[in-house]
Amino acid sequence: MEQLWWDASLWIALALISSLISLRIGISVALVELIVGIIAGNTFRPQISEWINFLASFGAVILTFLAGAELESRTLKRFWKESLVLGIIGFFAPFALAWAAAQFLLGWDLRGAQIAGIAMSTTSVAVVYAVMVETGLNETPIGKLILAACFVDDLGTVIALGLLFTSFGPWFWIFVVLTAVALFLLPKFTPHYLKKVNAHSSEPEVKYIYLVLLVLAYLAVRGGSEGVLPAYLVGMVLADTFLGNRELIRRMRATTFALLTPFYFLKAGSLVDLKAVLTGFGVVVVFFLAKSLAKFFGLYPAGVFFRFTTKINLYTTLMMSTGLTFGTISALYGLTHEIINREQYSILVVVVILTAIIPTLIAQVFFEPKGREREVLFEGGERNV
Amino acid sequence: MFKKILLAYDGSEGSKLAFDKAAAIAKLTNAEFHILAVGRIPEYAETVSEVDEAKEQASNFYSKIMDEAIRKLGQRDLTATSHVDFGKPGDVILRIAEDLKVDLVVLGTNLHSALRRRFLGTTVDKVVDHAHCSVLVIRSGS
Repeated sequence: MEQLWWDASLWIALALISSLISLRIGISVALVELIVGIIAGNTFRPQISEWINFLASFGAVILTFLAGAELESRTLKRFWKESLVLGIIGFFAPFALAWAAAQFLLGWDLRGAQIAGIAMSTTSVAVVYAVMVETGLNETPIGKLILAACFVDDLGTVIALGLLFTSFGPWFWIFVVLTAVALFLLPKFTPHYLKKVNAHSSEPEVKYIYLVLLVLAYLAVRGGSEGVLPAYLVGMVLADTFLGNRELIRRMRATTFALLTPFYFLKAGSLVDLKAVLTGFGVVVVFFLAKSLAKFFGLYPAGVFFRFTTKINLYTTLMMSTGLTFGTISALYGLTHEIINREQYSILVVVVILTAIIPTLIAQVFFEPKGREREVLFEGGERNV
Repeated sequence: MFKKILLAYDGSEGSKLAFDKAAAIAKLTNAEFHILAVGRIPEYAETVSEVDEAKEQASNFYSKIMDEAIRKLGQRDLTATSHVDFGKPGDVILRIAEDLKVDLVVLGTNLHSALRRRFLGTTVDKVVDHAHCSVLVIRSGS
């Protein structure tokens, strides 16, 4: 029993250290937790027990739900054509190229190569949003369009992860039907429920969301799918409800960031084998290039088609080349389901970390739209908004 | 002389010195006066709400500091427009200076370790190197 308390103390100490570093250097705690996890995993190797696995998995589900709940449906409707095209290309191009590179260039097996494709297909709405706020672009049309496209891209990733490794047996179809029913009923029922319980101190709203997500995650896993798929979809259908209830999001975030996501990111980092990364550095470069080039050659022509100005087009392309949370979720899914081995996992996670940092830096330094460039979205200006 | 002045202000000792000098110049030149505070938000965030919450906390923190600064200016028969924005201070000061088309940016220095200066640079370095207009840097202790 005392071992449990010791392990818990150790993991929470790592989470606290990560928070303090994040506070000091101004970088998101998720990225710091990943890096602290990598250091811990390659030095004193903290024990990963069953309860840590549960907290980490639950953390991934809640994080995915919060990401889904951040959808701005108005923006998606306003720029539906551009965001759908950019989002779908942003998903498929790197998915296909990284898959092909893994299978035909690096000799990974089919399922392992598919995991590599999924992990490279992502973008990061939150990373992009932070950059948008920094540059003042979040309130501009281009900022909103890029965020909507990132959202569609991530949806592609979550659907691929939820469906690609499924056996499509009877339990899968039960999961599909019950999820569809839940997605239909939740936006109708939830506002009434939230009004009824009225922010009681026993947190019935948070428990209600947790219950919905846990039941659907159970059905997903029982059906051979992945718990993050229904979580993202539930987040999407409840996004408008949550938009008017920011306090609830704040309370959910407090629980999630204090007790759930640290276990997820620390665990994801601690499983990275640095020796494998060093010996497979060439593979890291291959995946980084596969993702970046696929995003560029997929998205840039689409931007030309929509007549984006050159600078806006390059900026959009780079922003959509970022990735963090869903990349690590995909890689960890592959490792825990023994689709990829520890070396392959280590390489994918390091590439994901690099894609969070490098495209963002290049976009900010060289291609950040300034002044009137921020308002002019299209060449010729006839569709300026 | 100067027609529009932007003061970067965070309530620190260095920025308080810059505040006094900027106010004196604004009074002398009858220039339009803007004060800017920059709140940090996490880079490479996990969720959008994480960024929004950091913005909200920074807004609450700096709005009090800005109100106090405006009150002090009022005692000197000066008025100013306050702005709170978010991101890396150097980048945001440059962006707002350009957007407002100011012709002078005033900012103070704060003590940083040599190591931090070497690797991260300072806000002052960035603004002096890249500003489109004149920059007045008030040294701590001057």
